[in-house]
Amino acid sequence: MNREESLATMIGLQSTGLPEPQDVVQGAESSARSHTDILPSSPRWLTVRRFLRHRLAMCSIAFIGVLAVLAILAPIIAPHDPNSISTSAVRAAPSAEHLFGTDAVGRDVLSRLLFGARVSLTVGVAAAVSAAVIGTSFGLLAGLFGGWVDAVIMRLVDIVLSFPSLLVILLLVTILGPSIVTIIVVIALFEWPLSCRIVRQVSLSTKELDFVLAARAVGARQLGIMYRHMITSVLPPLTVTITLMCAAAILLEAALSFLGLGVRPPQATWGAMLQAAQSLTVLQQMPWLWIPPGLAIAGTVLAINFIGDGLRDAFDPRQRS
Amino acid sequence: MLSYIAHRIIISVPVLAGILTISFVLVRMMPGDPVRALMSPEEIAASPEFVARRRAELGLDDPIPVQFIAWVREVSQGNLGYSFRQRVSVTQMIGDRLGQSVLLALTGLIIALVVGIIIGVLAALKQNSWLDYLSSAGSMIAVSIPIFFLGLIAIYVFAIRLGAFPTGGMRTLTAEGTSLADTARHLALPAGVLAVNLMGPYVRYTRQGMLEVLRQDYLVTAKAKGVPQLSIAVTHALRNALLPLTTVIALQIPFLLTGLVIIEVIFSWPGLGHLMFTAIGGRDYPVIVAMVFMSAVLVMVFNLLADLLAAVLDPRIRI
Repeated sequence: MNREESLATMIGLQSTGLPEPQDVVQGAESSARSHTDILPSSPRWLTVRRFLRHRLAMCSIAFIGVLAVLAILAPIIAPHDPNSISTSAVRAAPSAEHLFGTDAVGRDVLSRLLFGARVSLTVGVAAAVSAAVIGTSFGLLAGLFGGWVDAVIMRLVDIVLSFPSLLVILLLVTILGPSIVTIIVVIALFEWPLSCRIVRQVSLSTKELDFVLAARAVGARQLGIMYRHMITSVLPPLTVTITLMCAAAILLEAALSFLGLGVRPPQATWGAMLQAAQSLTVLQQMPWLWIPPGLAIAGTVLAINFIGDGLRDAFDPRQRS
Repeated sequence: MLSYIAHRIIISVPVLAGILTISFVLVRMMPGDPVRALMSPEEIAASPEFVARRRAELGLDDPIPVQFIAWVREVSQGNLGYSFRQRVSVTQMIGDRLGQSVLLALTGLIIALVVGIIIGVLAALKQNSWLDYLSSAGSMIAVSIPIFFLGLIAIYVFAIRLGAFPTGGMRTLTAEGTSLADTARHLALPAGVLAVNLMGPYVRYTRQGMLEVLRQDYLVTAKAKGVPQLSIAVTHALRNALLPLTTVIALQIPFLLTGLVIIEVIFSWPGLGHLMFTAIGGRDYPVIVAMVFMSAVLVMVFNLLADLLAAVLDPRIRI
C-alpha cells in the first residue's frame, strides 16, 4: 500500500470503490440492504449496529445544529456579558446566578462557553471549506492534466504535508499576530493537501470511466467535463474529507488557544478556557472551569467525526466491514 | 527493486528542496535582527558601526539567493543558528533535550502499537461482537478528545485523586540522582496519554487488515487442515495484516510531534516540545524555526523509510 492509497483508506475511500450515483441518492436505505446481503451474521447485531450507526450520525447532526443555533443566538441567550468582570464572584462555584460558575476574574462560564462555540464553529467550517477549495482546484488540475502539472502539484503536497501543522501554525501566529482570520488562513494553507490527494485520485479514476470517455468523444470541452462529470464524482468523498478537516481545524484552534496563541483575549474560546486548568489549584478544586469547555471540544469533534462516518457509509456501502 | 528505491529517493529531492525553501522563508519572516538580538541596547547605541560591520560579516546584506545558499550550507553542517535569548547554538539546545523527547515519544509509540494491535486483532477475530463495537467507538473517541483535555483528565484522576503518579516533571526533585523507577513513574502518564492519542488509527488499520486477510483462500485452507485458531491469527494473518501499519506509523509522525509539544507542556516534561513552547513565549525565533525545520525533515525521512520498508516487505509494491 503506498502513501496515497493509505491516506485514502485513512478516510475510508478507495479508488476502486467509487460510489455510483444511485448509492448517493438512496443513501442509508441501500446501504442497509446490501449490508444484510453480504454479511452472514446475527440479524439482531446487524439491526443494533445499523441502528446505532445511523442514529449516531443523526444525533450528531442534531447536536451540531443545536450548537450552531446556540452560537448564533449567543448574544441574545447568554445570561451574562461573556467579558464582564466581577470582583464579587471570582471562581464562584455553580449557582442559580451562574449556572456553570465563574472564572478567575469573575466572568460567567456558561456565557463564555456559548461565545466560544462561535469561534470553534467559525474556524472549523471556514478553514475546512477554504482548504477544500484550494485542495479541489489543485486536485482537479493534477488529475485532469497529469504529466508535469501533476508531478509539481504532488511534490507541493508532499512538502506541505511534511510540516506538522500545529508547529508551523504556532510559528506563523507568533510572527503574524493572533487573529481569527490569520488562524483560518494558516490552517487552510496547511490542511488542503488532504483534500487535494483525494480529489486527484478520484478524478484520475473517473477520467477513464466510460461516460467521461463518451463525453470526450462527442467533443465536450475539458472545462465542461471537469464541471459536469468530475464534480459529481468528487463531491461524495470530498464531503467526507471536509468533515475530517473541519474536526482537525477545531482541534488545532483549540490547541492554539490552549497554548495561549489563539484568538486575542478577552475573546472567549474553549481552548483558552481550558488553559486555566494548567494551574493545579483550578484543576483540583474548580472542575466547572475546565470540564465543560473540554467536553464541548471533545463532543463537537466527536459529532463531526460521526457525521463523517455516517456520510461515508451512506455514500459507499461496499466500504462497510 | 533498485529502480523503485532510486525513484523514491529522487522524488524526495524536490521535497527536501521545498522544505528548505519554506524554512528559509520562515527564517526571513522572523522579526528582529540577529546581530542586535545578541547585543544589549547600550551596546547597540554605543556602536552602530559595529552593528553594520557585523551585519556585513554575517552576510545579512547580501542578495537573498546568496543568503539562501549560505543558510543551506550552514544547516547541512548542523548549524541551526543561535538562540536570541540564551546566546548558545540552537543545535546544542536541541542536543541537550533530544534524549528526553525520544524517550517519551518511543514509549508512547510502543504502548500505542502494542495495545492498538492487540485490540485490533481481537476486534477482527470477534467481528460484530460487543468488543468490536466498543473498540471502534473507543478509537473514534480517542481521536476526537483533544490531547490537552485528555492530559488534564489523566492528571486529575491519576495524579491528584489517586495520587498514583506525579503531576509532571521528569524526576523527583528531592531524590538524589536519577533512578529508573522514578523516571518510569514520571513517564507513565505522559506516555500513556500520548499512546491513547495515537492508538485510534492503529486499532482501525489492524482490524481492517486482519478482516481482509482472514477472507483469503490460504487462511481458509489453514483452517480446513486444522491449524489452531491462535496460530492462524498470529502467524498466518497478523504478519500480513500489519504491512499497511508501516505506512500508517509514518503518516502519524506529524501527529506524534504535535502531541509531544502539548504533552510536554502539560506535564512539564523537559524535552523539545517544552523547549519550543518556552521559545514561543520568549519570541526566540531561531529556536522555533529550527524546530519546525527539523520536524519537517524528520517527517520526510520517515515517509521515505516507510515507503522503502513497505517495498521490501511487500513485493507487490515494487512492480
